[in-house]
This record gives sequence, C-alpha cells and structure tokens, in this order.
Amino acid sequence: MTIKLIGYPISTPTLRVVICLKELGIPYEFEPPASFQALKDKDYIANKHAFGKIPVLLDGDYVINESRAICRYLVSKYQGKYNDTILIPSDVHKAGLVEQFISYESCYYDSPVSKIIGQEVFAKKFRGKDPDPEIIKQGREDLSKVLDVYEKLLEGKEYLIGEFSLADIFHCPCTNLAYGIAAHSDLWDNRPNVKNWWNNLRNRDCIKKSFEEVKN
Amino acid sequence: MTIKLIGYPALGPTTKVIITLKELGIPYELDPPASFQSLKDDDYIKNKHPFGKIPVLFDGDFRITESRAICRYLASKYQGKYNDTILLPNDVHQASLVDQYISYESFYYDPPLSKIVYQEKVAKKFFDKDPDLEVIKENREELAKVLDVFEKLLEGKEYLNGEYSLADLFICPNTNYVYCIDTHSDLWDSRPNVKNWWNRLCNRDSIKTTFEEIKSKYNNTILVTHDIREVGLVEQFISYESSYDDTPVSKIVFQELYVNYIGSTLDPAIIKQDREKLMKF
Repeated sequence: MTIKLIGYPISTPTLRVVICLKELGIPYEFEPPASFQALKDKDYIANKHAFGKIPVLLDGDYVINESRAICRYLVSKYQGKYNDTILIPSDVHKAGLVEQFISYESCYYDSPVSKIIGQEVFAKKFRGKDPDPEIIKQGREDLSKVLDVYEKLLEGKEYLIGEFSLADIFHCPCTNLAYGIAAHSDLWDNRPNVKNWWNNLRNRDCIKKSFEEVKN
Repeated sequence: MTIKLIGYPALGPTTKVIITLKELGIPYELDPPASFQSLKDDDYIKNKHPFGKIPVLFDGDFRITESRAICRYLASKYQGKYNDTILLPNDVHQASLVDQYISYESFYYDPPLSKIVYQEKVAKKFFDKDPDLEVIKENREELAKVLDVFEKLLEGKEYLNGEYSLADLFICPNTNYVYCIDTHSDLWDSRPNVKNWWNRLCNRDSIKTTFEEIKSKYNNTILVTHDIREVGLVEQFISYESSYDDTPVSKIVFQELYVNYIGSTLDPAIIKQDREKLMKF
C-alpha cells in the first residue's frame, strides 16, 4: 500500500518530509487537505493530528505526524530499501551528531529564518499585512550570529556531519524561502563555507525537484 | 572511561540528561562549569558547545551537545546495558510515535509553559518589571488547550505512548517548575488523566531522586522558595529572551543563583553594575 502524505508543499514542515521521501526513493501519494479549515474538523483531530496540523503520513494503517518524527520513521523503516542513500548513519556516534545538528536547526537556526520569511513571504499572503522591517532586521541580526557559528562548523566539511544527512535536509525548506528573497541571499553567500554547503544542498537532484514543486 | 556531563543539574536541559542517565543506570560524573560567563569563553565555544550552552556530554573522546540529542544517544547506545529500562522502543512504529510525542513537547507544550514562568518569576526578580497579566493569561489559555489535547491522548493510558518513554521524561523538568507555582497547578490537577500521569511521573525513582538531589544542593542559595525551579527557568529565559543582552543577565544570574553552589561569595557590585546595564538596554 502506497504511503500517503497529507500536507501543502509551501509548508516548510511538509517539504521536509517530501525531500526525505524523494531522497530515500520511497513511492508516495501526495494529498493536500481540502482546506485549512478541514484541519480543525473533529475527524481530522481525532484521526490524523491531535493539534490540527500538517504534515501527516499514513503508511497502511499506521498514522504518524510531526515532520521530524515522520522523517526519522521513514529513515528507520526504509533507508536502504529503495536505494543506497544514507540519511542517518548506523554508527551510533555519527547518528548522535546528526541528532545534535537537528537540534541546532530547531533551536537556533529556524527561529531567525522564520522571522524573515514570516514577514517577507507569509505576512501579506496569509495575514494581509505589510512586512515589518524591524522584525526582519532582528531576524537578519540573529541569523548572522548563527551563520557565523555554522561557518566554523562547516570548515573542511561539505555537510554538517561531513556526509549528507537528515540534519542538512531539515535546514532546506526555510532556507529555500529566505535565500530566494534577493535582499537576504547575502547572509549565506557572504560566508564561503556556508555558501558552499547551501549550493551543494540546493543542487542535489531530490532537493532541486522538491523546490520546484513549491514554486508550482 | 566514565561518561562526563557538563551542566547545572537544576537547569531543565541538564536535568533531562541526568534523569536519562539515572533511568538507564549509566554511571557518570557531573562537571558544572566554572560560571555562566565561562560558557562564552573561546575555549568553551571551540571545544564544548559552539553556541555556548549546556549541557555537553563526553563519552571518552566523543562529544555531543543538545539535551534531546544527548538523551537519544544514551538510549541508542546504553539502553539494556545496565538495566531493563526502555526509553526508546525497539519497534520502529512505537519508536516513531515516541518521536511524535517528543515533538509535541518541544513545539506545543514547552513554549507557553516557559512564557508563563518568565512573567511570574523572572520579570520581577531580575528586571524589576511587574508580570504582564495579559501575557500570563494568553499563555495559560494556550497551555490549557495543549493540556486538553493531552487529556484525550492519555485516555486509557499511563504514559503518552502507553509505556513510559523519553517523551514523558522530557516533560518533567519544566513541568515541575510551573506546577509548583500555586496559581498554576490547577492546569494539571483539574484534568484527571493529566493529573494521574504527572503524579505517576513524580513518583518514579529516577525522577524523584533527581529532584530531591537538586533541592538538597540548592538549599543554601539566596533564593527563598521554589528555587530549583527558578534556577531552571532563568536559564531557559536566557536562551528564549534573545532580545536582552545576554551578558549582564548571565552575570546577575550567576551572582544570584550560583555563587553559593560553587562555594564562592556574592559580589553586590557586579549585580548593581549589570542591573544598570540591563536597565539601559
């Protein structure tokens, strides 16, 4: 039975899962919800996501939500099944480091990037408001500090733990949106290691294809 | 070679790791940093945590940071080695559900919890600001909605995923801090499944022992009541409230909270100087 993914490609959490599915070569069907409103229906809350969010993944009768949990599940169950791509190494120490960088993404990286894209991409679209320049400025300052750390962490490395992993994937969706805004690409392009890392990522086949789905 | 944990036991993220080490029966040595200030030293940033945080764990030459990553690593490597306690199920479907609940804890449960405590405990104590009642009200409402969801999730279950797991463990340190604020314990106590679940967690040996150890070590600090919770809260707010200049806050916190713990003496001049810096900010 084919895996079913409920979500919207523009949603950064959904895109994390899309990239993961593509990287592992797992066949799936994509199913956008009927509407945002449908996410609050009693049926959705009881059977899909207790907090009325996306994405949700159905693998036969098994239902799992929360993008990072979904991706870890896909790796645990399907890594090596359809192709040779490794997203979480089997070595316990390397796997530990992947989890560490996953934590860096959610604790330090995501918040300032989200400040920027929350204003530049989503404010007008979803809240009918103009972008707030103060919030954007704060987001840029905070992100600069984080990227200075990443610049050092990536010294001599192509990816965060050296080899490509789930930790790099988790950075992709929000970076894609922020980098795509001309006024902000300098944040990555001004730092040689970070620039190199981001270019490696956005030129990977599966990631490139996933970003194209967002554009469409 | 014994595992070495760098951190302050009373602070939420370090507490998570300590409970995990105890649950799995793993021997370890605790190594508190010299001061909060030392977390920003070049040497610490380079060799311990690139963002200047705690906890950090050394397992021989292997170094790992970030409390949830550390706990997952410990479960992956040592689960079943010293005792039979299971924190991450072996079955892939069950393990992933535990991950899902860990995500609920990080992204839905923890944020409103932390905001309540910032207002109730940190704002007045460190910034001489009255608690913002609107913010408290909003975040109580937010946390109440989350706990309503948990009430349903816990129906017919002892723990979030049925059996005890890392997801329940992660809830403990911060819940303990907020639960002990009298005006907020109703949030848990008024929901029967949540109440039972919380009581069950508080009575687990490793969790009980951890909190008792922290309390006994912090008995001599200048904070009067609920001090173990306040200590943990402040560290959280240092990391959440990035709009404040971290350095004066850290210096104040160190003076107010840690000098006794590490056997030093309070320097009122430093507190005065850094309060003034923060006021300007």
